[in-house]
Amino acid sequence: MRRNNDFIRMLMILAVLLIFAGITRGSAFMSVLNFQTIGKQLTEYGLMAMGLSLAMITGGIDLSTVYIANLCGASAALIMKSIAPHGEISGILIACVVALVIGLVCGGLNGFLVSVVKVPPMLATLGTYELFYGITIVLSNGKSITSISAFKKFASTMVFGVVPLPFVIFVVAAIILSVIIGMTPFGRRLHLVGVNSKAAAFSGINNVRVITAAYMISGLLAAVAGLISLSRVASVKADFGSSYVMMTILIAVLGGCDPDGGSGEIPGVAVAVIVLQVISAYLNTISWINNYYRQALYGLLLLGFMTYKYFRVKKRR
Amino acid sequence: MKKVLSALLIVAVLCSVSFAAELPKGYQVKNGYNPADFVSKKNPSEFRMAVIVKGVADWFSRLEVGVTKFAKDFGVDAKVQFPATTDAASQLEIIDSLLTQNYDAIIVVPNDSSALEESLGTALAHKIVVIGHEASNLVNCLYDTEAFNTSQYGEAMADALAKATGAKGTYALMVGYTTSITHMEYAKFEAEYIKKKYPELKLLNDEVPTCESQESTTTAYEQAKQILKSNPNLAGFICHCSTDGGGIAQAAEEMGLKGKVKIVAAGVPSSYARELKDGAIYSVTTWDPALSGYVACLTAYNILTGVPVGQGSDLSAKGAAPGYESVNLIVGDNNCLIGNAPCIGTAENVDSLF
Repeated sequence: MRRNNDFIRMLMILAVLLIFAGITRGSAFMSVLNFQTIGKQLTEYGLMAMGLSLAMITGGIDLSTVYIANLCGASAALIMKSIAPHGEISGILIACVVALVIGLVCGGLNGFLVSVVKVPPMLATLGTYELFYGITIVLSNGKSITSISAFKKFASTMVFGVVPLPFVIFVVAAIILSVIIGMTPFGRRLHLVGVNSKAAAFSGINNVRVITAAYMISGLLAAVAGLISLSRVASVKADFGSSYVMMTILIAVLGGCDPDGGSGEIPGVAVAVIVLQVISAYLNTISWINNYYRQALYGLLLLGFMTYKYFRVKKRR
Repeated sequence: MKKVLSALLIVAVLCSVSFAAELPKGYQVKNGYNPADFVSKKNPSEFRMAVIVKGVADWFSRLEVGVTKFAKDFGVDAKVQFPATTDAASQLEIIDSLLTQNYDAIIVVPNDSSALEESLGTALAHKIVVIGHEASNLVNCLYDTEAFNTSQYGEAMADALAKATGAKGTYALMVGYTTSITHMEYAKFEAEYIKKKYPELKLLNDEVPTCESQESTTTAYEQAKQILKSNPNLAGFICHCSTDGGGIAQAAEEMGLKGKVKIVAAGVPSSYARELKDGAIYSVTTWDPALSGYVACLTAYNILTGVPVGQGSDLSAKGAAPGYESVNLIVGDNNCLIGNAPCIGTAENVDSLF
């Protein structure tokens, strides 16, 4: 039952936030355009946060997602420029597939380091973070790579004329992952490995495979995020989105993932993504609130939530 | 598990197939907007302007002074928005949010122009005036406003370095980011100019730039320390980001090279008053960001109210912004309005500067 609590709690927070924003800011906040912007902005780090959540459920963490995304975005941009300069569909497709494969390989490397070499996940992904960042700098000569113009339209597409395509991808990804993590044997194994990896191994679970798969999915999601970012921003740079690293951790924890592993479900994380972007958009509508407070607010949220969870768990014990 | 993975991969591929197949025609980002189309029907007192700066620094606090003064002088709502981080994504998020908030003008000092082009293009399409500052490569704006051109500034920096070092020895060049177009233009110009005019002053490894500070004092300090460790005889150091000087000065001081390596910095002179007076930093070349903020806002205001802006325009607002009495227009991808307002702070005059 606990898994649903996080989801329902986040939904309630979201509802309260929306009502609060609606009352205090009125039409400045409650406009279709504003919600479209929110939907567009949250996708990239939303996907990465869900990937990080999988790593967190196994008791790990994935700090490299932003840099996997940029590496994939940069690779795709370069491939598109060379084989599809005029927006040939086949060339764009090849570039996307290559980017997704790179994402899987990067995730695989993380998984290998964590599960086989047994490097602590934080160090392993911090190392690969630098590695992927470095490769992207080399690929791009440290500069921005612009997207071919045909690919730009992908992120600005509105499904049914109102819903931004990136948001649809986010929702679809959230549903697929919720099913995989919540209802399949793989999802159960993921949690068991996170609760107690030794016990999981003794009960016949192949820890290496489970952990590697989790990081590979995270890498794949980062690759999708990278492609969406390339399309939305129309350019990619090695350090674009560096502030998302902290955001993704915050979201995963707010969404109910236990940093020690073993618990966490995707629906809660997905709603936490929306909650955070709504807070951010709300702050953006108030010009007299300095953006510096945002970092402090995020820090407080993270610490407050961890403290709350700590006391709740202690009480149960 | 294999099944799940392959299913996921297939879904992902299918998704990208359907997206790619349905690329809509829709909106195309265009350049070459006519400022005359941006005249607003609103009463000037209802104008809302937002100024987005790169991040937290004395420099941008000073810029805010000019924007606040402008808002007061002209009775409009003009405010500076400070991004929470120097990540280009933060600036982008602010601009995207502004687009939902009925702003009349967006003035931006971009960290990475190319990351903002798409959103600023949308702003122009919605008849929001976009003015750039320190962004000579920004395409989607009506005008870029600069205090002086690269050569005026580069010459001032290079001459200061030559004066400090006696035009002899090796020097290093630090920029904020190698992707920062203005910093790189300054650095390249200075290297060329020094090579020609001061042949005995040599650039370290003959490489532009020597290092990047990533707009962070800590990184500037670390980079400077490494460079000074391997080149203790370095005669001078030029840096371009307003926060670099302090980092380099600290590194030099810790290595016992204070005053020996002449630091020609950029930034707010008063924030380096101590370093200037005790010789840790030789000079702080700058333009007054308060005037820049003022002039950028005034440019937007003039466009909104239908006052023509171009070659020879007076953007000084009757003495409020000295140096901008007759701006030069350089037509290009981006129409650049250039004043003539450099400002060099030294130990002698720092107390009288901002």
